[in-house]
Amino acid sequence: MTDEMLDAPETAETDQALSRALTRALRGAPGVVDVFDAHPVVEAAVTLVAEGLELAEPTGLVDVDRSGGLLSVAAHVATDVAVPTPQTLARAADVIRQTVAELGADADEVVVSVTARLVEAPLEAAPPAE
Amino acid sequence: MHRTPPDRPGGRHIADDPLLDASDGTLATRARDGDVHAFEVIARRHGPLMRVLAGRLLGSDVETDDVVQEAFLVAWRRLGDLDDPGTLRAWLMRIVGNRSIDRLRVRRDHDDVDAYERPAPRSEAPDRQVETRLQLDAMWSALDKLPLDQRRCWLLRETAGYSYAEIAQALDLPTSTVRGQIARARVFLMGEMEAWR
Amino acid sequence: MTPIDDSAPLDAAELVDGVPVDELVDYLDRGRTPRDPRIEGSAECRLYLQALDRVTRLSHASLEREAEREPDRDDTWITGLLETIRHEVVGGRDIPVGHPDPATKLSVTEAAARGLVRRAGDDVDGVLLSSTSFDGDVDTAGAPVVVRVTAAVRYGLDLNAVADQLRDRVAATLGLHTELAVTAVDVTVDDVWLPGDRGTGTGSGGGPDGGPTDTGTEEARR
Repeated sequence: MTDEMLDAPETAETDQALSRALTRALRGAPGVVDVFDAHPVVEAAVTLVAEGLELAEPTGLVDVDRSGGLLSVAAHVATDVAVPTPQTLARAADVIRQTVAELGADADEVVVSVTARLVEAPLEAAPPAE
Repeated sequence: MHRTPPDRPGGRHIADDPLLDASDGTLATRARDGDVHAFEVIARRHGPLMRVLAGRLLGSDVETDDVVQEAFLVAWRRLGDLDDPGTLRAWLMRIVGNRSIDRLRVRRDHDDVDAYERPAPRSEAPDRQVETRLQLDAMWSALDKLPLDQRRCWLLRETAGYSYAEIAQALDLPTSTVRGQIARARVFLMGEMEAWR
Repeated sequence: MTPIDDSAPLDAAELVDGVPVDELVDYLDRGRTPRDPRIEGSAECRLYLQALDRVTRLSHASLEREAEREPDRDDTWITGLLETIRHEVVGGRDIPVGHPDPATKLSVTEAAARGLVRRAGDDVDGVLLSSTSFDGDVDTAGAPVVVRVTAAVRYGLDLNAVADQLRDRVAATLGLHTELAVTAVDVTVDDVWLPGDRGTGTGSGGGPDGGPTDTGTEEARR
């Protein structure tokens, strides 16, 4: 989690916006079927189920951590079983770097980590031929 | 909002889903290893009985949905603790028993212990065999006639597999009282079912 | 209807033909073994055990029946539950995927890899995998790994042929989605099932072959 006490308020807000932008960009990346919350694990409350809470906007799911001149981005995704996952992960990393650059959110050094937590067939895919 | 449903194995139609026929042991092992779809099959298979048990323990159906969902969340997180995956059903009944008791404790703390008690509703679905239906009807009514404490002790022992000591701890009663409650319940139920020999 | 008299003292020493009721209850709980000749020799005791057994079975059956008769509830309760659970799947170790840029770290979780193995099993007709695991340092790139699975196989199939098919599928899918150096796929068949047969509660045995069959570890083909 971003240490918001030390960063300037604008940076913290920007990083949250960055996280949301990265989440959106990843959903559109080829081979990415879903995006999971990459923030450090927090015990899920039972109310999550009772209220039907959705883990999405307004919080971004991509973990953005900035300290000193280092920007660390971590994303957890579900990948398409029809596409080689290493390829999907590499493309996802590219999308992340592009988005970071486009938003001018660069730092001296950008470290990107993408983890596939699930490989599945997306809902919209045509059923496999018999 | 991009959503995908729980993964269907091999993309096959639900009618061909082999997990529907899988044993509890296989499902529990797969779910323990992270198979969400296997857990879905477990939830659909055992959820109804868990809901009925919760309803009879709580004395109403008001909170049964919450209790069953909590029970499944607990079960998912603790699947690794289940030594013998084949005992899944009994294990689930214990968990829902625990969650129901926790609810009763919350009510007791708020002084509205059995304010929710109401007669057990019957499903309207048609039945299969007439003879057994009469006996089961009689048993269902008999259970309903039991005072709530006797019913709880009886069901925790018979359906949720609690020991006398565990029931005593769960309901905050002396063990001797629990034995007495179960003995009374037994006498009553046997008397009621005499008529249906 | 006679009101239940909760206050009437229950005779704790209630006897059936000289045998305390509590003893009969415990005897029934144990499954009537080891056989007690004093109890089994008494007609009254046996009648009592019969009645007690009936009551406990009917008690459970009445709840089961009510559960079966429950109208098909809407799916919202289960959808919400499963969504929460999907996000809680414990990842296990991270299996590294190579990338030329040292500042880019890619990986596949062990949980995802197990899901791939299960999917491979689901794609082989007549096979149902239960446990899946990886032996070896999966989190070290290039380290040798053995995939171990336990399977139930439909009755009548050639176990070795099916195991080979399974190995091929497992190797193929792991080769497509991970960079694991799979040296072997170990298949243990521990159950045999008939189509349309709801498995027993134990998930083991019951087939003509009886106990587990280890079809062995074989070099994974690529």
